[in-house]
Amino acid sequence: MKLRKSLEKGAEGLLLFCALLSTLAVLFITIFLFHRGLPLFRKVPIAEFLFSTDWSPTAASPKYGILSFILGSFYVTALALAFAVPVGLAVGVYLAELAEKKASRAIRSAVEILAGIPSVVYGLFGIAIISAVTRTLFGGTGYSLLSASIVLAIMTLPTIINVTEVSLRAVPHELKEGSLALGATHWQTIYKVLVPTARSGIIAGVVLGMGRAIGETMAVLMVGGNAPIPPSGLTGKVRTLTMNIITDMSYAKDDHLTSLFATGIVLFVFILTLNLVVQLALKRTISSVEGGQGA
Amino acid sequence: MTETIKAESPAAGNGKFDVDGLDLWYGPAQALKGVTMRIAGNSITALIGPSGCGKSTFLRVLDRMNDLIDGIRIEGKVLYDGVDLFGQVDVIELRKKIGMVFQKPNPFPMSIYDNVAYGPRVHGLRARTPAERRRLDELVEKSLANAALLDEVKDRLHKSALGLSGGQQQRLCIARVLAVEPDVLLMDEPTSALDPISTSKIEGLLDELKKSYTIVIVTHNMQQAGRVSDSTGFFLHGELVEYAPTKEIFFNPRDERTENYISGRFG
Amino acid sequence: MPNRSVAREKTAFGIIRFLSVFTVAILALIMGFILYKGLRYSNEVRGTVLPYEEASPDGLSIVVNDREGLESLEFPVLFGMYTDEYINWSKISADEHELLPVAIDPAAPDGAKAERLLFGESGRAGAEWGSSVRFAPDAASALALVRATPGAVAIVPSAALGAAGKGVQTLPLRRMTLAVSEDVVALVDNRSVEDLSDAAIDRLLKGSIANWKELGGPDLAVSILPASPGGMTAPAAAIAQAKGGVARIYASEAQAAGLSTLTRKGVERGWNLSFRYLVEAPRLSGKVGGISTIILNTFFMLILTIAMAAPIGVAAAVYLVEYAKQGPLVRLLRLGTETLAGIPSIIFGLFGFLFFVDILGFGFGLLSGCLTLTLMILPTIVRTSEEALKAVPRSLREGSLALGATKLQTIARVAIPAAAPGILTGLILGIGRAVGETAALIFTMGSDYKLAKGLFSSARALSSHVYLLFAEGISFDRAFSTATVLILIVLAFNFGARRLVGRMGGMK
Repeated sequence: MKLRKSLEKGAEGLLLFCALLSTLAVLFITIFLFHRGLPLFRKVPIAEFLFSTDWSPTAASPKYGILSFILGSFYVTALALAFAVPVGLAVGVYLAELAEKKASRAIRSAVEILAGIPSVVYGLFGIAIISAVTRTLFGGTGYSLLSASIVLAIMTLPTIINVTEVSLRAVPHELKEGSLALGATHWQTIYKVLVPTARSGIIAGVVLGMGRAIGETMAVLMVGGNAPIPPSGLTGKVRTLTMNIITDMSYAKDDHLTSLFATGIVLFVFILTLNLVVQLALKRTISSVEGGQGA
Repeated sequence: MTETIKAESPAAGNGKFDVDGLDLWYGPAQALKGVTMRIAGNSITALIGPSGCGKSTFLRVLDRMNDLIDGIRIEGKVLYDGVDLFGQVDVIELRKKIGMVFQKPNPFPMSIYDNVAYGPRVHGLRARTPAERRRLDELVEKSLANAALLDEVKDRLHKSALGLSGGQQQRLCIARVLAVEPDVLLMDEPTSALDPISTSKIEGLLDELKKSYTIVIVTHNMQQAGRVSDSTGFFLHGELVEYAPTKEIFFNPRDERTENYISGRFG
Repeated sequence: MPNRSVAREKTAFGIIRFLSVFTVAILALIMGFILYKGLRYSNEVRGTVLPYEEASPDGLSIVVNDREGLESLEFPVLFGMYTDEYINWSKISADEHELLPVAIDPAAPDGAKAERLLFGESGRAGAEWGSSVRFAPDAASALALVRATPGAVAIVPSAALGAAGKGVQTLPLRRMTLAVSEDVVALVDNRSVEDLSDAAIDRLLKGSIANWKELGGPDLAVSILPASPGGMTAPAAAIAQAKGGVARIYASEAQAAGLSTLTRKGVERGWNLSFRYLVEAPRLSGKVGGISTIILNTFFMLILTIAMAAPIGVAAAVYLVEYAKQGPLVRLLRLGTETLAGIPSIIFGLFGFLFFVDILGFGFGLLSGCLTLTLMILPTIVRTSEEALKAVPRSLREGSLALGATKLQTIARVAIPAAAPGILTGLILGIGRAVGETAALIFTMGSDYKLAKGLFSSARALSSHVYLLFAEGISFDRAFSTATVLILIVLAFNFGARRLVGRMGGMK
């Protein structure tokens, strides 16, 4: 009996350790990233790092300014969301409110498959089709802010669609019936009652998508053009924070390498902030909307 | 069906269970208030009362199934064969001796055979040699036979238990309990989810089982209590209002509340 | 008023429907395009020879040791082989064997014919055989040499093939070019004749084009020269002298006479993804060979990753569902899992590089890569397993406990088996994510495309291969065929997960 008890206790301890691993991993990632990246600021003022666009890490007197890449990430993400949010909302509304069983099953599988396509494959598609189309329509090389945003928009669609659908479905049925009973059309009910009620969930989905977009590396790397300069326009080349890390990683040394980890810190802090926002927003959805939160 | 697996305690002359001043709280809510009763061995004791009266809670105390619930507090004394249930008791051994059948049949999603063999297996019965395997086979068949199910399932012992009907599933759950060779059977409304034919089959079974086991059954169904039990306890708002031989409770209740409840139901 | 809102509703729903169909259309476009490009290639090629194949030019045959993927030879390539321009096959066909050009001694009559084929009637005097050419005394010994040497090529009389031709492959030759007189290609006002599509060549030879201006050239009338009697080609001298002259002529003759030739642009199509591509090992950075070792490495990676992530993830879920009591600890664990789920893969790559590769000293290899992937897919597995365990009815656990089973026995024998389909779905989703990952792997797992020999050996997975084929400019076509394999694997996992979910639904 003693043996069994200590066995059970030991097992529980092991299980707890496994459960702690995710949290430990986050802690470790934070510690090591900061430990490795922060020393840069002994040599480069943090303001210069964040607010200068001069990135010449291999020059005789190297300069480490990542403003261009912060802007790049920001523009690419904003533009991607500008494309993806209207489409994602529409599809989410369609799935939650309009679609018949067959249609919704087809669209849902499509969305699931879209979510599963590896980012390098999106990259290849981006080079061969999106770049070619934007080159033909708008000129330039085709490897541009615009192309990168379009590819990212497609990649973030599934997240936005799913969260929109789930949030809309979580709206209590009585609200919808109440609105319809007052003689509102289905569409009026959707945009005056359902979407506003599901707002915080939808916003959480958009922020979640934003996180995915900022963190995406391979696809934008393949279509963004990757020039280390401030983005010059829709058809200009762009380099994001993620691209900066992956491009220079293969040969960077010393301070240059440290600057890449510092770039990682900036990206990491962005993402953590977004995550926190999502979790706060989602918590609010769950407490404000009774039951029904599916996935 | 004849083997008796009970070890008479030295404190013979006492009941199988001796409950003295049992109080139980779920957080701030008191669910049992000063319950005192002696449950005799080799008999069927029925616990009746309206929903939420505490009878199921009481039943679960006897098997210490309430341990699973957070924020529970128990005071008072429960002796099982003269041993304090809340003292230095190995819960696992206790639950092995005291079997429980639940309201809704809960067969595991595995084969009929594996369901019955589950208990013996977790208690260390291995089936490595042919002899051991034969022993397990025999135990499974015996348990199924004692639960009056063997004839219906002997051709499909290795098919999923989820394919059985509700009544068959409940008898399977009884067989599953019998296979660990317990001393006491606790039944929490075992027929409430079943049709009349299955119910009568299980009631008939209880009569048989009584010869070898002590049975405590919680039931909503007054006729059932009257038909199968030797003594009956009536619970109301967490109190044991009246506890007496079944005939007395039904035909000559001493407490007015018991009479109201019973007549209300019969009347 | 109501009419207006009804009309507005109609418009809104129309737009919504359109966008939904649009989303599916995007998916169809992506999948269709990748699969199409993966299965078929179509490349624009530019060259001087026309798509006219001769199996037996001048009664000679060009034979090679079995050469997969090569269906014909262009004259400039053949010429290059015998003049030391090529030293191996890597630029000609998909292998890297050393090239051995074999010819019959030019002193023999058959050898003289081959010399004429290569260097032209008029240029025979200036014949300059390459130093690597091996001369054989007769056709039979040349054929024997080809049979015995993997990288050999020979020019022998077609008549000599017969029985001796077993074990070698005959390649047709493309040697027809369009030669023009000098004034056609002379740069006037910076205009020059454009590269011609097959249709344009057709029209030119039929006489439908009157002036070179129409083809972007100088203002000069087109004059098509007749072929010599009994042949298809015109004499070189006639072409050189005619004003605006153009005619078909063999590349060897044009070369010998120093004639300018027009450039043809054509489209080559063929099968991209073949069985051989799947089962052959890659060579020369993946430019040659297949992807067999990379597929195997990918599977090793997945097995190792899942072997680490599955027990940890399921154990974590078991703790959260079966043991943890609501409180700050659980909130912390949830926060950790959610945060880990949101971290982008490039950060995982950085961390893996720092921690596993560098600090723990595992180096670039399978182990570092798989540990990194494990952390990445852990949240997915934990969350789905949690959901699956929560869905197991409490009554099953009680049934087991009431039989005297311990908590651990109950979890291992009842709860986890009952939750198995849901847990498996989570594992498959995790694998799906791992198989498509690139950014986290490039700086942790390495990029060696050879078969991984152990936990610490650098290994390239499919997704990294797709990226590197593109980024190192090796082959766009091969990137697409690898992407196709990758997508098929992802789809198979996706389909598997869906089947499991379906089964789980049916069980309830």
